[in-house]
Amino acid sequence: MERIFIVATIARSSLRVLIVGGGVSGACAANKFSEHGVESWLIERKPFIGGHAAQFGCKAADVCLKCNVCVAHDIFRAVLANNKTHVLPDTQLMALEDHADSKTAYTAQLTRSPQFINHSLCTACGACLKVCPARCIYQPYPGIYGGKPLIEMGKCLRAKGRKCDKCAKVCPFDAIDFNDKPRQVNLPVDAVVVAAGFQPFDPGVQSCYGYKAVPNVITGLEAERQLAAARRIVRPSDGQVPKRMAFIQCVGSRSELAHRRPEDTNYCSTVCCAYAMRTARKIKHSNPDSAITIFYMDLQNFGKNFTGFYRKDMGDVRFVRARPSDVLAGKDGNAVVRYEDRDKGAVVEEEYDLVVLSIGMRPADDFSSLAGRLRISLDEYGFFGIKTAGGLADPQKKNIFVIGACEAPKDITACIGQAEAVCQKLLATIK
Amino acid sequence: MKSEPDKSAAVILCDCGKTLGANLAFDEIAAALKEYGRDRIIVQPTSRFCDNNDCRKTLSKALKSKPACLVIGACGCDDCSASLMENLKKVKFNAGLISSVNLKEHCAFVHSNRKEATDKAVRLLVSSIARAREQEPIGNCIRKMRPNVAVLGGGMAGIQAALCLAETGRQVTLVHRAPQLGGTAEMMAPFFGYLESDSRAGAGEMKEVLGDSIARAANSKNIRLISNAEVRAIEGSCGDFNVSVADRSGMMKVEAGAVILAVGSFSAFPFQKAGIAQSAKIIDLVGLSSMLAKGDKLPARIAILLDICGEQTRAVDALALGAAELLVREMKSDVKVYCHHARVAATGMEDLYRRARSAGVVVERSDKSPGISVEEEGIILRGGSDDAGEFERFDLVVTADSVPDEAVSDMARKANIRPGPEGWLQADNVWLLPTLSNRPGIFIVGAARGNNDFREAFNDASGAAAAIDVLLGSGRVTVAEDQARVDADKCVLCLTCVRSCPHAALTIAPVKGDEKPKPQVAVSESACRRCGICAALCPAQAIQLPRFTDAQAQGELERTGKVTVFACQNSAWKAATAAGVGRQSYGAEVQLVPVPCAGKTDSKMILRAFENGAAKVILLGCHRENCRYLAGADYASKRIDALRKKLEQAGLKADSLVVGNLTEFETGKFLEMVR
Repeated sequence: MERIFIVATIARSSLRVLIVGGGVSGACAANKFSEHGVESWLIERKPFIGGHAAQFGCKAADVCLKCNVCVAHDIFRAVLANNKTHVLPDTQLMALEDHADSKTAYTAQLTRSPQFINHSLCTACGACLKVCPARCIYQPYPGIYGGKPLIEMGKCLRAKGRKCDKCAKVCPFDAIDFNDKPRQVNLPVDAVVVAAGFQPFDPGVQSCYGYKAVPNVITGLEAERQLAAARRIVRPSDGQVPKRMAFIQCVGSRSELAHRRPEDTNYCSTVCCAYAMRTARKIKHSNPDSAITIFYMDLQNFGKNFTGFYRKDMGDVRFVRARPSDVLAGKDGNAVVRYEDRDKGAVVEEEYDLVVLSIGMRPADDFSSLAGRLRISLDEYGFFGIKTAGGLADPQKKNIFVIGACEAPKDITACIGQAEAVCQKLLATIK
Repeated sequence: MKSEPDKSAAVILCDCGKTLGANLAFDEIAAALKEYGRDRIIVQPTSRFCDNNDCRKTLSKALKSKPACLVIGACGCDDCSASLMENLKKVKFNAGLISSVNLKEHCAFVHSNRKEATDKAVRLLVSSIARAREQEPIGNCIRKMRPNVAVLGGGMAGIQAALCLAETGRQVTLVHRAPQLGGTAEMMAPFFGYLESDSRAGAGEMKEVLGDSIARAANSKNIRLISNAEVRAIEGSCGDFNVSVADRSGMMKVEAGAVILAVGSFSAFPFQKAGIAQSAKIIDLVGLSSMLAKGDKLPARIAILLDICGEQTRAVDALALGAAELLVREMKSDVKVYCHHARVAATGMEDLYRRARSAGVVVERSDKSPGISVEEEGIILRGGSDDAGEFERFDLVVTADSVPDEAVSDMARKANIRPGPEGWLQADNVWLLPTLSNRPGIFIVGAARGNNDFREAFNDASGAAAAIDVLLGSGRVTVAEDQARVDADKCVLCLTCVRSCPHAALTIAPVKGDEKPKPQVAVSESACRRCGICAALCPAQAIQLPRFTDAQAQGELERTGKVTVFACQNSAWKAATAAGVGRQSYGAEVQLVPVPCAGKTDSKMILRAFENGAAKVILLGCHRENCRYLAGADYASKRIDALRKKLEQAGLKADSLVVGNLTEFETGKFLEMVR
C-alpha cells in the first residue's frame, strides 16, 4: 500500500549506512532508511540490482497467488528513484576498517568496475541498441530500469582490443563514456547492513536427478525465469508445453546426513513448497489439460489461506509423498522418475514430459570471504545466521547487521520484514 | 459540467534527444495544437525534460506567459518526477494544474506508422489539455498527528513493539487482557526449544528474553500498562485514534496517533467445533503447558495431534514438536505426534525435528487425521497412517492446533478492519505485508497476522515502530489536500461510501452549523488513499477525487480513440509501458486513459467514451486480491459487468465493453486485449 501523502519526511542527520547487496532485502532497507532521512550506499556486485527476486515470474492465474514478485519490483523501482540512496552496481566491498576515533565508525574500501553507460544521463531512447555491431547492449529488467541499457563487456569489441564507439557516437546525451575506469572508493560509514542473498543449489552435483544429463529436467529457478520472460513453461528440448509435469521437492534441502557431501543440507529452504505449488496452480490455469505431480517430504504451510489453497485450489494436482531416488532419460527427451510408492510398497517408474527440481537456497560462495572482511561469523549451515530468540542481532555490538536470505533462507515477505526491522534497530542503536 | 474552453495552456513536448522525431512529426503536432487552441495554447519543445536543468529551463519558458494549466508530453520515466516537483516549487506553479501524456512508450514506440502515431499524439495531447483545463490547484495542509501509540496485546509481539516505540521516545499505552504480560511466550516458554541447537538452551533463552522484555517494559517511563483490560472499539482515523478500553476501574479512552494490534495468541482448542470431547484425557497444548507448570504427573503414553482444524503453521509445529521433545527428554514419556506434514520452514526447525525423533518421538505423517475414541483402557487413535485398521492406545491426547479465537475475530470487528481468510487479522493482500492492515495507521504484528514465525514477530514489532515513526513524524505532517471531497449539498447520507471505503477513511461526523449540528460525511486526509472507489460508488454523485474529477475524466475523453482503454495505473498502464519498452506494436486507435484504480471507473466515463466515438471500451485492472486498494478490482468487475449486460440489452454489440484483469508483467495479455 502506498504511504500516506506526506510531503515532508523526517530529516535525520548525518548517518551513513553501507548496504551490501542489491537484492530485495538490501533495496528495501535502503528505501526504509531514506524514509527516515538516512543516506545509504547500496552496493551490488552485478551490473544491475534485482538479486534473485527480480528474476522470478508473476504467478497470477485467475487470481493473484501472492507470490510477491510485484512487490519486489516496486521496491527495486523505488530504490532507483529514491534520492537518499546511492546505488552502486559493479561494486564490491574489499575491506572494512575500524575508526575508533574519527567521525564515522568505519571506512569501507570499495572497488567499482566501470559501467560505461551512465544511467543518470541515459533516457532509454534505444539509439545505442540499434547500432551495436556485436549485439552486446542489453536491457536489464525493463520493468525496473525502464529500458535503460547496459553493455556486456565480455562481448564488446573493445574488450577484444578493437576500436568501436558506435554507441557512444549515436547517444544523444553523451551517456556513454569509455573512459570510465575501475575505481577504489573509500567510503566513511557508521554502519553496515549485509544483505548478500543466496546461491541457488546446483543439482548438477547430485547426478541422480539427471540435471543437464536429461534434457527436460530444469530447476525451479529456470522455471521462474521462463515464467518471467514468456509467462509460460516449456520443455527445453523442443519448446513444447508439457502435458505431464513433475515437481521434485527438497532438492538440495533437508538431507538426512548433513554436510557429508556438498549436496547435503539439513535445513528447510522454506520457499520451495510455496513456489512449486503456486507455479503448479498457474500452469493448471493456463493449461487445464496438464497433469501435475508433486513429489514431496512434507508440505510447508505458506500464505494466509494454505488450507483452502491446498485442499481446493490444488485439488487436481497429484501429491506423492516420496523422495525420488533417480531421474532417468526416457524417450524423446522425457524424464523418468523413479521412486518408492508407499501404498504399493514397491519401486515405481513414471515418465514425464518435464521435471522441475525444486532447488533450495545455499550460502553463496563468497560468504566466507565477506564474513572475513567484516569480521563476523557464519553459522553451521554457512549462512550468517543469527539464531537468537528473536529479531535481528548485532552480537558483537558493532553496528553490522545481517538481513535477508543470507541470514537464513526466507521468502520475499520475511526479507522485507527484516529490512524494515533493521532500520529501526539501527536508528535505535546509533543515536 | 463546467467547461473552460478559453483557459490558456502551455504544452511541453519532449523529443528525447530528437530520437522520437523518427516516429512523431513534432512540427505537425505543434501546429495541430495551436489550431485547436487558437492562441490560448503555447507549445514549448525540449529534448531532455528528465534532466534537472532542462526541466527547470523548459518550465520557466513554458510558464512565462502565465498559462492556467500545463500539459507535459514526454515519457513514462519515473526519475523525473522528483526533480519536476522540486522545480515546480521553484517556479511557483502548482502541481495540481499539470496533466501528462506518455508520447514515448505509449505512442512513438508502439505505433510503426508515423502518421497514425502523430495523429494519436495529437488526440492524446488535446484530450490532456481538455483535462488540464478542468484541474484546480491542490494545496497542502498541516495535519496534527498524535505522537503516542496504543499497543493492544501484551504478548511478546506487543511488548517488543512497545519497547521499540519507547526507545525512540514515544509514549506508548500497552493494553493487555490478562493480569500479567507474557502471552503465549510466557505460557509455553518450555516449548521453544527450536530457538537453539540445544532445546534447554532455547527454552531458557526464551524465558530470559521474555523476562528481560517484561522488566524493561515495566520500568520504561514511556510505557503505560493497562492490564485486565478489554478493548471495546477503535474509532477515529490515522493520526487521531480513540481506543475505548474497559478495565476493572471502568471505561477509558486512549487517544493515539497509531494503533498496533498484537492480539494473536495460542488459544484454547475449539473442541466443540472440532467434534472432540474435551476431558481429563484429551487436552490442548495450553492445558499441557499448565500441567507442566503445576508439576502434575504426566501419564506414560501421550499422543500429540496436529492439523485437525486445518493445516497448521510452522509456529504451531515448533511448539508441538518442542513439547514432544520435552516430554520425552524430561518426563520420560512415550510420545507420538500425528500430523499431516512436519512444518519445518523456520531456522532451527529441521534441527528440532531431528532431535525430537532421535530422542524417541515418533512422528506419523498422514493426510488423514486419526479417529479418536475414548475407551476404558485409554484413548484409541485409529487409522491415522495410510495403513487402515491400525490403532494405538494412549493415556493422554494433546490437540496442538491453534486457530483464531473469538477474541481475535472480535478485534477485527472492533477495529473495523478486514480480516484474513482464516480469521486472523491481516487481510490476504500482498500490498499489506508485512504489518499493515487495510486501515492506515493500524498495524498488525505477531501471531495476529496469521502464519507468523516467532522470530518474525520481533521484526514485525521493529518494522511497525519504524513505520509509525515516519507516519506520525514530529506530530505535524504535511499532507496534500487531494483526498476525496464530499459535497454536503448532494450527499443524502446513504452511507454507501462509509461502508465501502476499503480504508475506513470516511466517517459520519457531526458538523456544527448555525442551528443544531448536522451529520456529514467526513474524509480523513490521512487515511484516504485517493483511490476514488467512493466517488465511483456514490449513488448521488456527491464525491469527487480532486485529481480525477468527473469533469477531468470527461475532458480526457475529448478525442477518444476507437479503442478506449481505462487502464489502472498499477497494472495495465505499466503493462502498456513495458510493451513500449519492448517495442511491441498495436494499433494507434488504442488510447489509454489512466485511472488510479479500476474501481474509479464508472458508467459516466464509459458512456462518454462510446458517445465520443469509441467502438470498443476496455477496462483493465489488477487481479482479484492484488488490488492495492483491496476492493477496487472487485467493485470494477461487478459494476462494469452489470453495465455491460444493460448496454447489450439496449443493442450494444457483444464484446464492445470488456473487462480484464492483469498484472504489470502480463504484457502479452495486454496486447491480446487491445489488438
